[in-house]
Amino acid sequence: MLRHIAGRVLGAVPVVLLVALGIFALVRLAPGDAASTLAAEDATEADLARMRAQWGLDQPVLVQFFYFLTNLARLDFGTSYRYHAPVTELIGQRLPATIELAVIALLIAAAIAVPLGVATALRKGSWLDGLGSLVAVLGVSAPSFWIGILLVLFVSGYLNLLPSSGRIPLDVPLREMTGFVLIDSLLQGQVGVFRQGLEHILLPATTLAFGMIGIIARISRSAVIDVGQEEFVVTAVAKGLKRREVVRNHLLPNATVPIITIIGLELGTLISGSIVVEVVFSWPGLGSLLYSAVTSRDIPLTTGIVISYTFIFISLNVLVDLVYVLIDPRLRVGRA
Amino acid sequence: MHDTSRIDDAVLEADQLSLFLRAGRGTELKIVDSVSFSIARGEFYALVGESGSGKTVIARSLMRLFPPNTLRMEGRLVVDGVDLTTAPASRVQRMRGRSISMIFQEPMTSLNPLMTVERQIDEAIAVVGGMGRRERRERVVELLADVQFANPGSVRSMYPHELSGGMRQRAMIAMALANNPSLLIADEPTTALDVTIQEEILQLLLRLRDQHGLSILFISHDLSLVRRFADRIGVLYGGVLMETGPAHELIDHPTHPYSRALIDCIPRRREAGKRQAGIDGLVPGVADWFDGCRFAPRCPRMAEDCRHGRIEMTPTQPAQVARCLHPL
Repeated sequence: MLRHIAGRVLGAVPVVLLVALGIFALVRLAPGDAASTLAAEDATEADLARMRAQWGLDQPVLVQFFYFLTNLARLDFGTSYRYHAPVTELIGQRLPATIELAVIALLIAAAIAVPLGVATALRKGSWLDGLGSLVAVLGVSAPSFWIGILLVLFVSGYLNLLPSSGRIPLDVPLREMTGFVLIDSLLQGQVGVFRQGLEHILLPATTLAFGMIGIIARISRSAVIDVGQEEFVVTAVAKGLKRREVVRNHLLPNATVPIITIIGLELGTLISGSIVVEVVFSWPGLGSLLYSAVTSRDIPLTTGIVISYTFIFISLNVLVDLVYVLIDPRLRVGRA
Repeated sequence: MHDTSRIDDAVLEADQLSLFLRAGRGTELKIVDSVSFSIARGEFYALVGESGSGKTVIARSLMRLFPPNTLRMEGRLVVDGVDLTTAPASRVQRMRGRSISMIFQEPMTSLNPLMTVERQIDEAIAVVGGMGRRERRERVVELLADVQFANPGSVRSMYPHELSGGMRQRAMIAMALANNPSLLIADEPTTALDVTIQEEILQLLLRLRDQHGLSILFISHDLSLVRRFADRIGVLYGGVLMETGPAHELIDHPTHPYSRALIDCIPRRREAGKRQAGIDGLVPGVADWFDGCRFAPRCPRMAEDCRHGRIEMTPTQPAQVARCLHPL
């Protein structure tokens, strides 16, 4: 078991290295360098050379890459040009908001999509199945910024039900503990703040969830249909189990592996894909930070955020692999 | 009602059973035509046929394992006094695992890979209810010992992938016997197993039949296998029951030319220079029903009248019936 985990974690190292190399190369390929970006308008060629020497930009590329990797290993991405603060600190401040948004979006999506997928699989070919396909196609093809704007216009603007931007009103006092508004407010017993946090997160999370519902529902549907053709399901029926029991004890557990896979992958894409939604809803997360980093050519911050996304994505994949082991006894290698 | 081998103490009675596959848009495909046979308490009845003869469909229709919108049943199919062709779904569901149990061809895929042997057997016991956790646990061990696991205590906590093919099939049998059913349907349960394991499973089934008065419907394509174990044999061909009767008599004196041909195909010690017998031609597909005898195109005794009308089951020997106008 421990060996399995170690194997999965070690297997992720080459991926991180490859991504690091890619980011390093992209930054070097972009026209101009840090010195020319940051230098004052009237800087001379000599000033630029001095800056390059100071930051090691005059060193051979391989040496620079080595420095880049050693800093990466220490989780040191340097100082943001724009915010004049350590990149790691900036990311640390923004990450909880993004995770909170992604997790709530995932909960909304899974709560709708998994039952929908299972129900459409059990009633294949019915009107419900048709409706499920329609929802899936709509969800996958509608761009999230469009859905977001529609929701803002309708729910916030027209119905005036929910706020359209931010995490909590600026004047609300909330001491930061975990960085997650929903958790902090509960820990401090501030139910009102919790409600406000929930109201704020609902629209952006629904927008994010929209695109996932289709994919998760379709994967759940085909997973359940596949398992339904397995011989052990016939055995379960022949045993005399009720249909409900067959579905609960035999169909669903065996369908969880593909469903967990897609949910894990989708959570990764959610966290890295929330950029547009965060900008639309002025959500103070990693996505809107990346947006401002890119538009202001803040290379250390951009690099740091992209690497963080990679870490998150890979960790989620490893996590999903470990969940498989919990579900499927056949994957428990080394069991006597 | 020409089956002279009908018995009063019948656990199963199929009477003019026909099965139709619903092909959609109102079209139907007849896949089994007017099959009649019965199985007495404690009897080992073998239904033998080539692939495509309809034997597996009959086996599965006995438990109504097909959704009603895919298969229509006609005639009568009575198990423990309940006619399965007309019984409501809830009644049939309550018969599964209690009156009738089933084991399958592929022990590799017929057990749930995510559940331990104990949980799967326990689930079968719990179908009836009325037993506490501890009682059920003891019953699981008892059942596993009954199917000759030397160490039921350790087998029960194993997952299917940790068992060999023969062990899985025995676990399946233990599960099928959980509620002392009156009829066990065995759908080619040994086909996927080694010859030695095959023998072991068959001996086990016979012992269980003697111990529990179990009736067994054994589906097989292998006449040479079942003739050593079965009490009675039914020979299926292209969805039609051609002949049925006591095993020894049917093997020694087949009265239907198709039974004769099948028996001639049983491999024996080779005589020098002699080719292994076979049957020329192909089994007619379920899509083309033609008039007269289904075997006529391949039959060495075919006469003009075999090609017309409907041929009924008629007694050919004191205990045998065959669907043939010119029996042997």
